[in-house]
Amino acid sequence: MEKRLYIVCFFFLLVVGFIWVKLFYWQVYSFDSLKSLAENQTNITQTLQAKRGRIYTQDKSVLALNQNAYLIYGQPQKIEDVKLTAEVISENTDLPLATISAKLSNTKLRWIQLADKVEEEKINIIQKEKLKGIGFIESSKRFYPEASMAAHLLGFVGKSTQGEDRGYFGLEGYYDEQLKGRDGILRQEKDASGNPIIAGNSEEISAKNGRDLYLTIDKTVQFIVETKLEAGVEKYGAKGGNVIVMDPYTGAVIAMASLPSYNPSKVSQYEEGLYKNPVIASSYEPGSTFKVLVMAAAINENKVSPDTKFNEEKSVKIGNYSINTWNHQYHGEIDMTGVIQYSSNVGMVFVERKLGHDNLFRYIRDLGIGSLTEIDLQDESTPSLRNENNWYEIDYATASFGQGIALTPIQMIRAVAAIANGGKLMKPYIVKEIHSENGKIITVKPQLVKHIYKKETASVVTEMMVAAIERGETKFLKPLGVRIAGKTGTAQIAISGHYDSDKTIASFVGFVPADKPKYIMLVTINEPTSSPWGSETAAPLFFSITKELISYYNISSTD
Amino acid sequence: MIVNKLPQKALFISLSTLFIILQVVLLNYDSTSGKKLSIMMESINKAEKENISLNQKIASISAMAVISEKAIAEGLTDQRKIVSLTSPLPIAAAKNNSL
Repeated sequence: MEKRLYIVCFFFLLVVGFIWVKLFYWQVYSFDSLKSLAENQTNITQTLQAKRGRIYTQDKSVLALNQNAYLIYGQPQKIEDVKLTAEVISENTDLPLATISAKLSNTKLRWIQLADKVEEEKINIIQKEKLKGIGFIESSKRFYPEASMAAHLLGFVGKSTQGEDRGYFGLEGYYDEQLKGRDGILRQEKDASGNPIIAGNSEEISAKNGRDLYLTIDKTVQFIVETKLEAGVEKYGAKGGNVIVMDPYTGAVIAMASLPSYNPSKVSQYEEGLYKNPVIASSYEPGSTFKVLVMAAAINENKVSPDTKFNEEKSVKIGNYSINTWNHQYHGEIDMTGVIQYSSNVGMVFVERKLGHDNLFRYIRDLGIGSLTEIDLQDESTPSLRNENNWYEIDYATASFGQGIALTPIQMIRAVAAIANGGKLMKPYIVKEIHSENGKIITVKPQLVKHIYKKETASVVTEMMVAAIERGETKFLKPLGVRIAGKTGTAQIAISGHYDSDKTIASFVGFVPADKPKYIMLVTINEPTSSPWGSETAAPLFFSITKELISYYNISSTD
Repeated sequence: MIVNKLPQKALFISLSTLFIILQVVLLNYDSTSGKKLSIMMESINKAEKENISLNQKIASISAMAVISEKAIAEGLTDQRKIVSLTSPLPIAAAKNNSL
């Protein structure tokens, strides 16, 4: 009897011991892993998406903002009608039917992304079909209400190699860090229904929304410029063109337009070559517009004055080269104003020789040719300025009338602005204020790069430019009653080591009104076919825009 | 002494029981707050999405191309004419004989 009792006790102790071991295993040994498993089941981690900052013009009109968008995903194992589902998705996302079909037919997959950044209207249409196995995740997409207006200025938002939204080119690229903000995280305990448990654990790092940019761009001027440029390029049968309007005193860019352009909302439909902003990244030989800068340098150094006489009677020989006037006409004895008025190449060679090679090179370098302007747009580039040791007699001669030297349109307008504003080289910029979510405002102030010319020099050269307009080929184009300072330019295009005889870049640079300019504008027309000359293409376009701007800015003849 | 300790023990047990009951009642009351919070968050999310959508529509309607088209459709035409009564003379050029 006692023996059987002991055996029963032994078995009871065995079972109890087994239970204790198991309890120890689950509650002590496996505590951390089980706790982690429980937390994973009840704690949900959610990314709090930061909103990308907006971009506004001077008058607080929005140029870039966000719109509701969705990611569409499919669960192939739950799809009932692959053909119908694929057709509906394909119709509303512009994705190939074959691609969508292939993804949905792959029943080995539980989840697959079908399309991203799909607009709300399209999602509403898809939702009406009540398709099984299709779901939507909220997202956001960039929206440009002005379509292709200011496209090169804005840039666009694409995907990085990590699949995140990222700005490319223009302001979206340059200010990407400021605009994108920082995503937040919410880690919260949730119940079986997915509702948060108030008394449970909760951790949150708030999202920091991107900053808003307020530009120096005037929306109305931008619209005028874009409309006129488009009409001009078509009228003159040109490959493209650029217009920049700038405040010469501050360097603030008022408008900037280039053709051909693209729609930043539909970037994939355009060639990649169009994304680059030609105003800051494409170079050209400025031609006769450069003469005013060289003349200003010579006057600044007291090497010539407006009264200095030059005998324009024949071409100038330099080595094996012969430099002529643009129209092979020679006017006899002319003064320096006449050299600018008649746009005399031989006259400019004379001026350059008076100025001296070293001085010319120094002014070219000081005017920022060969250096970045550091404008706040992504992907600015500059042609390099050859080392002075590699310059020969002919190079100095041709540089005096703007050939054999290359620069970008933004470098050109900035340099001439130094004449318009009394001699200062200013840094061009586009963003004037950056606004944070918390109300903090960063103001961008105009920056002086260097004093180039004396005030008196700037005044004298301004008068020469006024005379060039009022007595030159453009005298019938300018509006009456307002003094405009300007210069035409026609530069041949260098191709494979020689200049093309037919193709030119026609340009015009000017500021209005001459005495206290409200703005400076540069117009370049690439390879016009109706006429190669700046006076017959770029100049009329300049004055056409100017007539609109005189009215817009209410510029009177007494200004 | 045993008699004195008895009321203290009873008080302690009573208070503990009361706190436990209170905690259970409050947590029970709170148990549905998560659902209310979810509903509120959904409403906020919906309002934010609607706000974004409306801002987009306002921006579209205010686009220059749209305004320009509407202006033309309404019959507004560009008849800007610059009229000047005088031609001002430059001061700096007064001495310059070529001008």
